[in-house]
This record gives sequence, C-alpha cells and structure tokens, in this order.
Amino acid sequence: MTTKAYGYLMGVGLSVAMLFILLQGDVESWHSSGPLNPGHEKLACKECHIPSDGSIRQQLQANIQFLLGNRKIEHDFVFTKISNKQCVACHDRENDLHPTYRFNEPKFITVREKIHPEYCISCHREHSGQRISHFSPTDCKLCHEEMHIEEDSITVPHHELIEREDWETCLGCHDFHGNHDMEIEQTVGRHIKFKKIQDYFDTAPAPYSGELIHKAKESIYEK
Amino acid sequence: MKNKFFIISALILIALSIYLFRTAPKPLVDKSIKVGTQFPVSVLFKVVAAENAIARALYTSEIVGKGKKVGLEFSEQWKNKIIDAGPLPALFLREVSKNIEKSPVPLGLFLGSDFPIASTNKFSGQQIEKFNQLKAQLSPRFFYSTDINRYVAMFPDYAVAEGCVSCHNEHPDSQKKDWKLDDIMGATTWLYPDKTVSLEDIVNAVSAFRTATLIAYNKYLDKCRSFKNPPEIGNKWPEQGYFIPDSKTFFAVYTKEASLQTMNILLASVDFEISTK
Repeated sequence: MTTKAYGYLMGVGLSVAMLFILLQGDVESWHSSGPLNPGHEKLACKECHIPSDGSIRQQLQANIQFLLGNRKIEHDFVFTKISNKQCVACHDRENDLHPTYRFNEPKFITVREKIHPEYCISCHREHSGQRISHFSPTDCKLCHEEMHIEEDSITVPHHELIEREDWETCLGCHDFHGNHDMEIEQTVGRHIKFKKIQDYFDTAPAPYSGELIHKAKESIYEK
Repeated sequence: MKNKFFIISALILIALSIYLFRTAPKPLVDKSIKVGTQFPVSVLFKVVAAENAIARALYTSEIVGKGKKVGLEFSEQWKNKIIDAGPLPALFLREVSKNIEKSPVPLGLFLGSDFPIASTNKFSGQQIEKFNQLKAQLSPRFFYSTDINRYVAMFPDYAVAEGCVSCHNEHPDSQKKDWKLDDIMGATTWLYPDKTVSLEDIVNAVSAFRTATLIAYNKYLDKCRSFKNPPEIGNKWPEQGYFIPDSKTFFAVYTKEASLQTMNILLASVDFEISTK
C-alpha cells in the first residue's frame, strides 16, 4: 500500500470513528450549536429535534421528486422543522397576553416584517444561553402607540408615557406573557428598572413578584 | 488508470440512482395532494362564520343580555378570581379563537373593528380597506394575505342585542358612543391556508369550532361554580331566573340552528358547482 492510499484509509477510518462517537447519546452537547437557554439545560435534543417521517432514503427520494417538480411540498429531512409547536408543547399558557397566533392577523403585517412576533424563536432563539435573544423597548410601540385609557389608574397616565416615548417602563410593570401572579404596580417610578429586566432577559432570576401561574412541562412527551 | 476511475464512477452513479430513484421503499405521502370533491375555501369560511354568528348571538342575547337582568355579571376582568363575572361576548370569542388555535385544524379567528374598545383591536392596512368595502356592500370580503400565505375572509359583526349597543356606548374607552342595534360594529376575520377544501376539511373545521366553543362555554360554567352566589346550572335559561344552561342544553339550541345553516350553505355551494358545469 502506498503512503497516499494509507493516508486516505486513515482519514476515512478517523471520520467513521468520529461520526460514531458523535452519534452517541451522552455527547449530544458536543454537536449543539450553542448553550441551551435558562430553564432548558436538562432538556435532551429529542425534545425539540423530532425525527421526520420515513427513512433517510425515503426523505431523500421525496425531496428529489420535489426538486424535479413531481411533489408540491418538501419533506423535512432527518428532523422536523422547529416551529412554535415544540415551544407550546411545554409552554402552553391559558392566560398568555401575547400568544404568537395573535400576530397572524393581517393587520400586524408591519410588526411581522420588523420583529416576527408570530414565531417564538424571534425573541427566544434557542442555543443562545439567554432567556430572550431579541428585545428592544420600542417593540412595544409597534402595537401600543395609539393606546389611550380613559380612566387610567396609574400615577403617570399611559398616554403620557407614550407621548414622552418612555417605552422602557412598559415591562417594568407588565410581564409580557402575563405568567406571574402579581399585582400591577400603579406608581410610575416604583416600576422595575430596565437594567433589571435586561438581566432577567439574560440569565438572572425573574424580577417580577409572585409565583409563575403556569409552570412549563418538563418534557413535550409529558401528559 | 483512467478506465478504472470511469468504472468506479459509473458504479457509484448507478448505485446512487438506484438508492435515490428506485421506489423500493414506499414513497412518502405528499400531504398537499387534495382528495375528494373540492370546494373553494370561501365555502368553509361561510360555514364557520355562520356557526360563529349563531353561537355568538345565543351567548350575547340569551346568556349575557338576559343574564344581566337576573343579576349575573359579565366583565373584562372575568378571569380575576375575586370577580364573580363571566366573559363579555368579545372575550368569549377570544376564548373560542384561542381554543381553535390549539386544534390541529389550521383555522384562525380574530375580532376587530374600526372603533374598538382596545386600540390593539383596531383594523389597519389591508383589513381596514376590506372592512370599509364590507360596510359599503354589506357582504363578506375574501382575499389572500401574501406574507402569511393565508386565505382571509372578513364577515360583518352586527350589534345583535341591546347589550352590545349599551356596553359599547357606555364604556369609558369606547371610541364611538352612538352605536345602534343592527349596526356593523366590526368584523370577524378568518384565516385558512388552502385555496380549495374537501368536505372532510369543512367538517373538521366545524368540529374544531364547536369543540372550541364547548371548551369556552365550559370554562364560563366553571367560573359560575366559583361565584359566592352561583347560579343553578341545568336545563333552564336566565330568561327563567337565576339559572345558566349546562353545556348540553346550550349546545342543543346552538347546534340545532347551526347544523341547519351549515347544511344550507353546503347544499347551496353544491348547487352552484352543478349549475356552473
């Protein structure tokens, strides 16, 4: 055997060995695209990465037929595409104040173009190591700029806060998804400061008082 | 050497072609292929809109309207544990909409207006254009929304009961205070992904809508049971006193009327299909 052929053989052998090691269940984190988000640390890959229907060969054949124009839709390859379904399987909440489906209404077209609130991962990108991967205080403005409450009970009325573009105060009193059992602060100034909110969006514990109303399931397979 | 390379390449190509094209494994089902007689999606929209109009009118008039007269309360804060109240009609619809989303049927339902109480329910863009057309022509609007790839239908939402008018005229955040009975107060907006639907799709959509309504109504009954002075839940209606019909009684009235309407819409669309062939 020549040195060149020996080199090729070594390369193929090492690749097969590495592939074998990577496919073992206990080294899943080695091929993760980044750290799991807070609260998801114990989740196995299969909780979100669900095998697609059919064998690899069937999936390849289906997609080749799609490329040749013989099928109308692509078939998910190896794993099903990640969608809101995987998130909602554990995080379905009765009282969600901003459920993703709400943003499918045609009138939210501008908001969809700007921040895509119709998808969970637009704000909660997984493998980012953070609770919230995207949020800007002015996101609230996209839908709530025209809000006017006639009998406003807070010390600085909402329309005044809107007029002075004080969008950082919104989440100081309101939990976006409404999942904390708490009284809403009525005194502007006593609201949670935005730095604390940002820390929470990163990895810090929730600054909102009260227990979680709905605790997330620990597995999508949990009944 | 060149000959050897050619043979190996040809063998690899043949093996790959067999692997990729010979359909020895059963081909995966193309879920986009439609089977059975196809109806335009507007038929599905008309059916679910009629179902909704009947359930909504029944709840608004017989539960909220007559319930208020015998001392039952309905509030925007109805989910608050310490408030003994049920959902206002718009919030009942929102519950139904949420429950539809949880079903496997890809149907969407929203309620909006040009003068809503909550500013986030105000129509804008394409929806306000279509809503203005709807008000001018007094007929539903059907269109396609490209960015969400959904067929859309908008149906008028009429002030069917005195309660709709008084509540919206008296609400401090109402942007219009001169509503009258039978005014178009807003519109329901429906979404569906396919241009054509089978009878099975229509049945599934009706089933999803009815299940969603049942869940919403049962949730209201659960709230009633938690009242300090709970109404009697059984086969009587608020018209007869401090009573609330159980889900079986409510659904018997709703489905009797709705089933007839649904059948009429389906038969009318079949007649149309035959007459145009």
